[in-house]
Amino acid sequence: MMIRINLLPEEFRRTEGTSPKIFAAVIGAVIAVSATFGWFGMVYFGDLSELQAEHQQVTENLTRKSQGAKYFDDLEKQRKDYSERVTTIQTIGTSRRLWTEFLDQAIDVTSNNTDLERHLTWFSGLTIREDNNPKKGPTVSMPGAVQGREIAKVANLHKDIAAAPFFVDVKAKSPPTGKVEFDKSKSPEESFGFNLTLEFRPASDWVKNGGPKPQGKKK
Amino acid sequence: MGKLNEKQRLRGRGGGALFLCLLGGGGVYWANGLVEDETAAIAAKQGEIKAAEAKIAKIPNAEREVIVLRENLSEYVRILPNGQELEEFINVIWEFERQSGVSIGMFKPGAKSRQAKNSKFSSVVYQFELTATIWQTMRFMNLLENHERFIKVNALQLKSGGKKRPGDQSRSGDEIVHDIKLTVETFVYDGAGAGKEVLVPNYANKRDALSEEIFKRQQKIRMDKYDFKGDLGRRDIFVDPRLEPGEERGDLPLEEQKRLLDNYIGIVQGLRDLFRRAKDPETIVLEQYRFLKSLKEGLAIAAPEIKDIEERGLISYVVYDSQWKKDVRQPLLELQERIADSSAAGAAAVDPWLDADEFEGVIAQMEDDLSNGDLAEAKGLFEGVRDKIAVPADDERFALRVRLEGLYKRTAVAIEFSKKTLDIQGVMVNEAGLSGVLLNGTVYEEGEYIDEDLFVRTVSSEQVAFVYQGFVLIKTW
Repeated sequence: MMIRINLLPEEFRRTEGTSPKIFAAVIGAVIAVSATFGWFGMVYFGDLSELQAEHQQVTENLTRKSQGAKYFDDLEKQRKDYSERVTTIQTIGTSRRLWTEFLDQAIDVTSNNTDLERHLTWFSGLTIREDNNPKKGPTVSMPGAVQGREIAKVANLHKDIAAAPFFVDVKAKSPPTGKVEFDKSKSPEESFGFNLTLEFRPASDWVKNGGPKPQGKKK
Repeated sequence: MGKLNEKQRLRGRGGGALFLCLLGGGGVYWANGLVEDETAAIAAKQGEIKAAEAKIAKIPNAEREVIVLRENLSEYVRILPNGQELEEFINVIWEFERQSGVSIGMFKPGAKSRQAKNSKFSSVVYQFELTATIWQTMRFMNLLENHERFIKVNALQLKSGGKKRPGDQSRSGDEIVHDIKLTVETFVYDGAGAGKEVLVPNYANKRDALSEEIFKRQQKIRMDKYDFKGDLGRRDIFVDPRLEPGEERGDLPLEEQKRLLDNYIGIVQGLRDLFRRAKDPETIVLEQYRFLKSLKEGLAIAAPEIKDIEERGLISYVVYDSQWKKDVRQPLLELQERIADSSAAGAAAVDPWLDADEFEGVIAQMEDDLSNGDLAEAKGLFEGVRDKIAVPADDERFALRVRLEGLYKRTAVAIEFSKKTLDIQGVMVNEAGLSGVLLNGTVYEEGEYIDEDLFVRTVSSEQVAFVYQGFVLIKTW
């Protein structure tokens, strides 16, 4: 390799120009830096500013609509308060049996249009009991007697009871049993004493509440 | 410091440029983060706006619900109040005791108790001991069950009594007083109160527009009620109906009572049947008249007889007595009321008069009756339709009315004439001159007056024609 040496004094030497490499590098660097800062500017002053303006608008819109939403929330709260009372009334209402109606129907059935051949029935008492347990229905117990000594008349009474309107809600009825009793102070002396018990279905299974619900299989 | 060579300068500038690029890139990264935050914040708020808009869209329905519920709130509070209101309840019980006639011997209010852990209501139990007949007991229970505040009968224990009310002279088993233990339950609402009412804009107009819905909802919330109509002639099933020795007390034997009962059940049933047929729209007017006539005649006989039987207490056996009330007395009263009602309804009808065909029918029937000499039948027929013929003078049926009234006048005169004692003992027919009739022992010639409004018109061998009050009436033999 040949070495060239410039022997001229320094002040007479030709000034060295920027090398093309450096020049190219500087140009590239300037472009890169400008592009980077330009991008930043676009994002910061362009997109972000637009979004901030949009955010401001959306916030104002939300503020306006929130008033309507709050009004709805207040209405809804009030509706819920009112509805709870209604629901409560419906809940307790469905669990009530009108015992006057039951007694009226029981009297109709027992009076039996005075068909004495069928049965002449009277009761010595009545006990109606309702538990607070919603799974249990009320129970009715009526000790009584039919005139004469034929158990067939007790069976007739039971048939009439089973045909009474209230019976659709009865889950179980005592069988027609009893025993002959004598009371010399009455004419005729014989009667066939019995104790009629009726077990009603739970209120949720009454016909007015949709009738008995199908039992789900237990796993 | 030595002069940098090109490579070093290149590295230096490259490094500077890289630093600046990294700085700018970091700025972009940071700014993008801000953009993302902002975008997320906007998206969140737009979500909130959507949610708010969804709520706003539901406002009309919510307002509607609130208005309907609020307008019925007083009804709900009546059924299920916020407090026990014991004093108010006692006043109600006192009023029910008075109305039903029961005698309350014991009243014990219980404490308020919560139904269940999360329940919105508590119950208060009240216990009563009372003495009353079965009908009084049922009336009392019915008043409780139909009360505007929700009351539930939880337990009832009835022990058949053998005693009658003090001073009660009734021999009826229905008056036996029983011992009753009654447990009832009322309810108190424990939920939060509705608080301050939300102000609904333009409330009055919206409420007015919803008035129908408000009413419907009010009906829906009403509790089950039962209309107890009283004993309706039924016997008390908590009384042994068998007779005690000597209880018949000289009344009819049971077989006779049963026969009497069955007889009058049949009579009343027959009368009801006549009424049904008389009111059947398929029945023509003349038939209606006949059915109503028979009904009225039947009632005129049966009603006093039934009253007499009741006054004499002929049906004394309690079982028959209850059936008598149910199947004889009650239907009879209903029948009498229905006859009275139908007369009133007929009077109030839009065109209460007979139509032209019916007029013609009645006229033809009356003429027929008159020619057959059925004067009472003709008179009864007219009287049966008298209320239905008073058409005004400008009505096209007026001429028929006049004809019908003329026939009635003729009938009435004929009836009056028939009551006169006119004993025709003989006639003297004179072809050439005036004939005569031997009447009540006196001879009258044609044209001669018997009294001031009756004279002999013509005499023939088979009949004598008289003129009475302007009408020609013929007697034959």
